[in-house]
Amino acid sequence: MTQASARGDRPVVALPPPLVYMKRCLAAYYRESPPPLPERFGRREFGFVAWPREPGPPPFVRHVGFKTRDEFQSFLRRRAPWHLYHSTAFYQRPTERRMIDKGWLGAELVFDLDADHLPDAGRMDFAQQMDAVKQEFHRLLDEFVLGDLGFDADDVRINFSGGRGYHCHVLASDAMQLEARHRRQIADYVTGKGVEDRGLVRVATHRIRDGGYVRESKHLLIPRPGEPGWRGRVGRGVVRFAEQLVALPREEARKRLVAYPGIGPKTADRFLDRLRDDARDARGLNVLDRLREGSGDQGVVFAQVLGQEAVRGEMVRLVEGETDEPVTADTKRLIRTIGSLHGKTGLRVVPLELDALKGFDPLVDAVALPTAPVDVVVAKKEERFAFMGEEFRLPENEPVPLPRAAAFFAVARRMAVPVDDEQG
Amino acid sequence: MGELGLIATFPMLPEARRWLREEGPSMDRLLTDIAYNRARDRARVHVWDALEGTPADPRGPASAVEAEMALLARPLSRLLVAAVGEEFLASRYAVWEAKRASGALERVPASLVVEVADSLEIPVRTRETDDTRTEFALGVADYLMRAPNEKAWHLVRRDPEAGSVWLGQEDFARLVEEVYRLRLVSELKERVKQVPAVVQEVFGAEVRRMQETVKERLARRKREGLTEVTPGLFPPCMKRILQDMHEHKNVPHMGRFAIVTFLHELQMDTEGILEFFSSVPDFDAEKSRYQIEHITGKGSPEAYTPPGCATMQSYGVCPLQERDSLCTKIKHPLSYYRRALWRRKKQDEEKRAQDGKTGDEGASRVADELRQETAQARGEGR
Repeated sequence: MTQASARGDRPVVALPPPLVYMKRCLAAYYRESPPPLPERFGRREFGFVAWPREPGPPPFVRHVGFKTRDEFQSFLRRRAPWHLYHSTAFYQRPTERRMIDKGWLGAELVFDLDADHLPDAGRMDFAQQMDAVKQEFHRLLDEFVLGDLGFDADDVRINFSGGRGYHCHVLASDAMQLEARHRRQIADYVTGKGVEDRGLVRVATHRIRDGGYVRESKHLLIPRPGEPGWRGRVGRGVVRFAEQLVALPREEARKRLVAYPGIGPKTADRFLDRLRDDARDARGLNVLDRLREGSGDQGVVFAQVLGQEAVRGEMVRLVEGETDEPVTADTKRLIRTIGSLHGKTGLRVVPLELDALKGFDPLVDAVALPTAPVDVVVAKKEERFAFMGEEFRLPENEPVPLPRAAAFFAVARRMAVPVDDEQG
Repeated sequence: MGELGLIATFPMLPEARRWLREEGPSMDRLLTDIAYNRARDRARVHVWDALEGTPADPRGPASAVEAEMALLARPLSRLLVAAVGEEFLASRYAVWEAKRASGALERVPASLVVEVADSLEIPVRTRETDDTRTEFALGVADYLMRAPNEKAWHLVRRDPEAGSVWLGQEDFARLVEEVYRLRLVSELKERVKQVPAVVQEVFGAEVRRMQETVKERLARRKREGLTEVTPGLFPPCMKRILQDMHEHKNVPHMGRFAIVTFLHELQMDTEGILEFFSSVPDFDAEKSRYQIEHITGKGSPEAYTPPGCATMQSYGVCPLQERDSLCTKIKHPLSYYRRALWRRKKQDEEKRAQDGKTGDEGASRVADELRQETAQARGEGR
């Protein structure tokens, strides 16, 4: 192993007990089940979070390289890093300290979706966040990575991140050569940045000469939901917006509409009347059906509501994708190594088949630490958490024995500290 | 368009290269033989046009002889550009030549468009629309690597279908132009290193005059460059960062990085930047000095350049709500500032003009001199 960090002779302090416990758990795990090396590992830079030898944030060690599997595995047994990463990029000389000296050869295109990125994450508990993020990740794959962007499923690898999210690596050779500015466009595509500026939903004014008069008529133009790319997506946003309003109780729908700047109570009422009117035209279609066909030209009130700037923004938000933009744009990112354990959960970074995503439950399927032995931990205040399909309760100031995986989870998430045991 | 006319219009086609190799004269004769006087004249005109930004004649060659001369003029123009040895001219020439080709490409049959694309290694597929127009597709990655770096070409505006970006002929011609332009730039860069001595003999006077013109242009550009620091004209993002710093708000790393690189780009050195920040409450000058020196290149191998709007937005440092109309026209905070300065200059000039003094005289005199000079230059060439 080549390691680039040389620290001075500063005082070495003893590792705090929770960290001693975590390090011991991880070391035992890496002895038992050493993770596989990522493909083309000799061209990758590795990095890890080491256990702190002095107060302050733990050191992040980069520019590490491994030549053989033995070297890699003996490093893991010896150091049992808190977190382990490798570069999504391939380099001629991965261990050089300066990026320009490394000789960049290409990089996987990465999508990273984490629970923090979801708008409502703050109001969910851990398990709910995991569910929400999985659904959103599913959409990222189906609609964007495999859908609009058209990457071949054979070139796409996905994994659970060990924390609160999922990663998607695209290994297609053309995608690997993309520069940061190209990748940023892909990230922007997913998140829909710049869509509003396209004016896909807009009010067009027609002037019609009627004898001596000029009549003006306003038409709302909306894209058809079936069109490709963002045109269709915005078309679907319009439909979803209308469907949501129809599904809401009248009073709530009205409240929601008047909250948009530029929409008054009268306009809101007229719009809702129109939307809920189930009258069928000659073809047997009602208002919503016609919206689904991409016909926005359904009376002045449609233009008054759907043409409002705030509403147009909402229709994009209803259908936009989520991904961590800087991660996708970065051509030199370090990302968690498959098979390593996430130091803040003890969960394993698990590779997944695309069709296995749906049935994957990280709090069960990514549990990697053993359920035996039982470790004793104690919490400062009462805590509850779901893990391994069970509900755990930590009473205040009362030592409880937990299976190791759950104990590690509780300690790593700072809900509890280990109680000194005989082995320690 | 005859065969010769075709390859004269699209000299990137393999047939054009084959013709030059097998049926054209040797480079030596092309440069010196009196029979090719007209080709050499044409080359001179082309390069002057490129330098001045005069668009090429959109009509193709009118006769076979014309076509032959046009075809022969291309390698000569490139030699001339290489002999001048100025990157500025090379880039102007590449733009001019690529635009000429793409203009022609908009109006030829789709099969020819595909042939041209093939010769530039652009992987393209086609399909016919209901109204019998042809559309051209690239894979998303291939598209991103070749599309012009402009807002209208951002992927989010292109509605890819299952990994393919479909373009009409006009747009596709523009993309071909961009690929051809970049290829020319790199070819010219190579060519500069190997200009035969005889080129200097043949084009000597031209080369000197072009070098002077380029120097003058660059000097003028530099004079108009960015050295002034007027925070009132800063783009909204930089104003926001400065204000947040003053109000003790936490400015993210990317924000601090952006403001430092921005100020550095206005020729401020570390001391100047430190002084600029000194009014910020609780500003720790010494702690910041190291960071600023790193960013401005004093303590690190290279200086960083300020991030563009896209990066600023990705990192959430662009105050989206505070953007103004100028923001919609630019992609980089520096261009915003450059335009804002220019705008103010224009306003000042208008004001002065209203006050009875004309501020424009100087500029128009320079333009006149330039026109005369180039006219002379051309006259001599003929």
